[in-house]
Amino acid sequence: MYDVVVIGQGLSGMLSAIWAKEHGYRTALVATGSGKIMQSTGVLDLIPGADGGLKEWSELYQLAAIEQSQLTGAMEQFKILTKRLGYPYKGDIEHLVPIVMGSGHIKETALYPETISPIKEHGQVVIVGFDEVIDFQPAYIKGNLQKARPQLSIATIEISLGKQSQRTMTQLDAARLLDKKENLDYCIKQIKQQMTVREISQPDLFIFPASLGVENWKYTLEQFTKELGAIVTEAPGMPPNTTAIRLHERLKKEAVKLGVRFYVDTTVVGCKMDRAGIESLTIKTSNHTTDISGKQFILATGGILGGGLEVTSDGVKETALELDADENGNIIHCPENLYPVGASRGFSVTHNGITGGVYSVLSSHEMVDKLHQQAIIGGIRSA
Amino acid sequence: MGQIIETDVVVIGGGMTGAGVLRDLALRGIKAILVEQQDLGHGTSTRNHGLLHSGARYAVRDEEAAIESYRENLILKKTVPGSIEQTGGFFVKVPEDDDSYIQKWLSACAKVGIPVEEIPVTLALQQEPFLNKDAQVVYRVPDGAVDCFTMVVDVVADAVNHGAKALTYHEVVDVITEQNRVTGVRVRDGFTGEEKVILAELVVNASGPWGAKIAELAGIPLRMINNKGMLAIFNHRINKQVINRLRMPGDADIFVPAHNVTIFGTTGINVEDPNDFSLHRQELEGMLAEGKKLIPSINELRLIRAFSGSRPLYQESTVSDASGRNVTRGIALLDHLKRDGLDGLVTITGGKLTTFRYMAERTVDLVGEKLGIKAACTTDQERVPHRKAEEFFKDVDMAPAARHKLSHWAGTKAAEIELSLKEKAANFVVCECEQVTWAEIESVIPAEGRFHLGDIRRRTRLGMGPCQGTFCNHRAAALAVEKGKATSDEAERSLHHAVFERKKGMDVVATGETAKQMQLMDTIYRVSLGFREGDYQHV
Repeated sequence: MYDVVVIGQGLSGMLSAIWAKEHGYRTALVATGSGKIMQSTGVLDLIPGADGGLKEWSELYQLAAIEQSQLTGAMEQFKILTKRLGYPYKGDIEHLVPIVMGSGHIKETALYPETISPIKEHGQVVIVGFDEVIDFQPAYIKGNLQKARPQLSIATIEISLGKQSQRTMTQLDAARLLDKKENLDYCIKQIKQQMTVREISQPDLFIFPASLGVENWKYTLEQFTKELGAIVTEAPGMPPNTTAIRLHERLKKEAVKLGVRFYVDTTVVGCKMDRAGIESLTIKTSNHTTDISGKQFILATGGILGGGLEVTSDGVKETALELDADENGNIIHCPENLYPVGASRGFSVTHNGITGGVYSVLSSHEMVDKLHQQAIIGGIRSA
Repeated sequence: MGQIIETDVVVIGGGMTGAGVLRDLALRGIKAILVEQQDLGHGTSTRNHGLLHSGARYAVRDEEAAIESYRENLILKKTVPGSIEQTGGFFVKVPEDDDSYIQKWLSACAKVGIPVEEIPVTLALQQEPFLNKDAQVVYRVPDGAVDCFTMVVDVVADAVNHGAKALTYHEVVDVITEQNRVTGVRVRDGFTGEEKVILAELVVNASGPWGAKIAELAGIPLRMINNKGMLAIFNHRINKQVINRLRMPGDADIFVPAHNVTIFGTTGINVEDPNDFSLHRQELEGMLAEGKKLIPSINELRLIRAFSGSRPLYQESTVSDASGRNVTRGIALLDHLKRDGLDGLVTITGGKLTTFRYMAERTVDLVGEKLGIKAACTTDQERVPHRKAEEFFKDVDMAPAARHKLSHWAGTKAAEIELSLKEKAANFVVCECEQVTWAEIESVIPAEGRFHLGDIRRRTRLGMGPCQGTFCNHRAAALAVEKGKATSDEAERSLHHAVFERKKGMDVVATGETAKQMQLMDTIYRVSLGFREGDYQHV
């Protein structure tokens, strides 16, 4: 018997599990897939894929009831957590910053890891691409960035990681290579060489793909910054982005360390209900089917993209518990002890397919708080 | 006034018919220029099943179309082998189908000479496991599958190789007439906006559903029945051979394999506008309900996209058949001198994809007669070069799947692609679904440097797989800028257009995994790459 069972290991699910566990609840997490953090850019946007500040966001997401203190509290908690995990996030939701993406386009974001620095209007930048990484092409990025930042002076450099693969190499492949000192040194050497030979003047900022190391990102970032003598930023783009992989891996490690019980590659195939709500979930792994019971359940299976909601020719379906949903993806008769978070809360909280990191953090935080209140009132508290 | 070009014959329309006419003219040594408003195969020629008819479908109702289809089926298998897969086809009777049709059909096929072989149902089910277990009778006919994209491109390339010219993205804006005689056309370059005049002895209108518009420019009446059909594509190939319903031809009763996918269709609704490619969910639902009778698990299969195109049907007298099913698929060759008193213009329309070569033969026979040229048609014998290139790519460092693709695909471009694969990063697999490398993409970008992802897709299959270009369209655009094949603006414009076009076809089938894929596309372009809604003019 668990106090809290979380379904889904995206950002909402992982944060819910960690925070529930931190409240002292016996917590389990059931997940079919690997979680959608993996496909994200690893930065926390307000409205994903669109401009707009807090006001526009709360209108679009119908968040009128949310108190400012709740919002800032949730963001603070996220920052504290990521700092503890050794992958600190900075920024704040009231002052969005422009960051450059792997296409050269610019978007505004709220919270971002230390490997990212905002892009300025003026000055000199150098875009560094790796020959082997197909999804980061410096001249193309320069073209788009120049349109958005006409006053920037932009140079491009292409270097080699010195590794071959017949498969298409991603930003993550490059990041794993840059975890090794010899590859890092080899790259720094090539950049310095090209700067000298091509007489590129010292820039204010170097732009790299989201590849600056996975485990050793801190050392990689420091080395690049020190050796190149300028600010260094990652420009996340086509997934997989290492900015996001680092967050995913660290959250997962932390959850395991805290004692969240993981059921991975596991699908919820049914549930038992009584008058008070859900009693247990029937879960299926590759070789057996079993029931896990719980007091409270957090639904963090995502929207259409995450697979929590499915569009069928007969309308929208909730996939994990097969609950009825309306055309907006809202669960019609939500059991009392089921708490949907993130994109599981229907289409009104998603934009361009996802909720955006800020909303995921907020809703997980809010739900765990609510569940905590319920648990105290209901007297089903356990320690 | 811009450039003036002189030639013997202008062919309007870069579909299969126009391509066939151009090649036939070139092989007979007649100077010709083809003009196409968009890319080759923009219209009906790539908006169909890709079925190489054996004629069996038309045997009962339209004997002439059946005879022509079977004859051409045999010729095309010989002459355009690189674009045809000799799959064979099943005609399957399910319980809903009328028993009495079988005898009618068998005797009609026998009369035409189409070989029909009865297959035990158990054997048929072994070969086609998706087929309805309640099938009652199954016959095998020599149907086949055509790759419309490669066929139109290859036929035009062979014509060009024999001295013809082809101008794509050149829309006819005027048909020039002088005293009851057509003397040429005025065309506009869709990229530069520049206008050119092409003067010719004769103009061939092979513009399919746009035929009436061309006739109007020449000042003569031509009533076309544009009969729009919808088709849908499954994410994998569910059948080895073509599967037809054994009944009077109707909606949603053909499944044609095409490389790694299956194309399913179709419907028939008469539309006014030849540019009407609209897709409706309701129409798809109707198709699925009907298709279920042949393939009962149809609703569990994943559709990756849908598309539509119009059959250009022609009947001299006005008919009021809204379904278009009762209008002949026969060929209409109109000599406008006899019909309208206007010399120098010939219209070729109607017909089938399968009969394009014969349509071209008849057209060029008439052209020769009018121009006083006595050269015989050789397209029933002379082969379009095959696509196989197995002797190439053996020693190139590249992904095995991409090598496999090229060795069955590169054709006459093999040597060129092999050479460029040795350049830096040219062996990168840009499109993982269809295993397209940069070297292959580069080989289809025109020398004048026009960058268009749609043109690249039609020639390489870039972005045709289940992800519908989510990853590869951006890669191809970025690499094009990187390698000096496109400016940043051209790449951006083409990328917006490509994503928009893909989404249009996905939207109508967007349930389950395809709904997910569409959202992933949105998320990646808008959120991960930071694209914003662009208001580019689509070429």
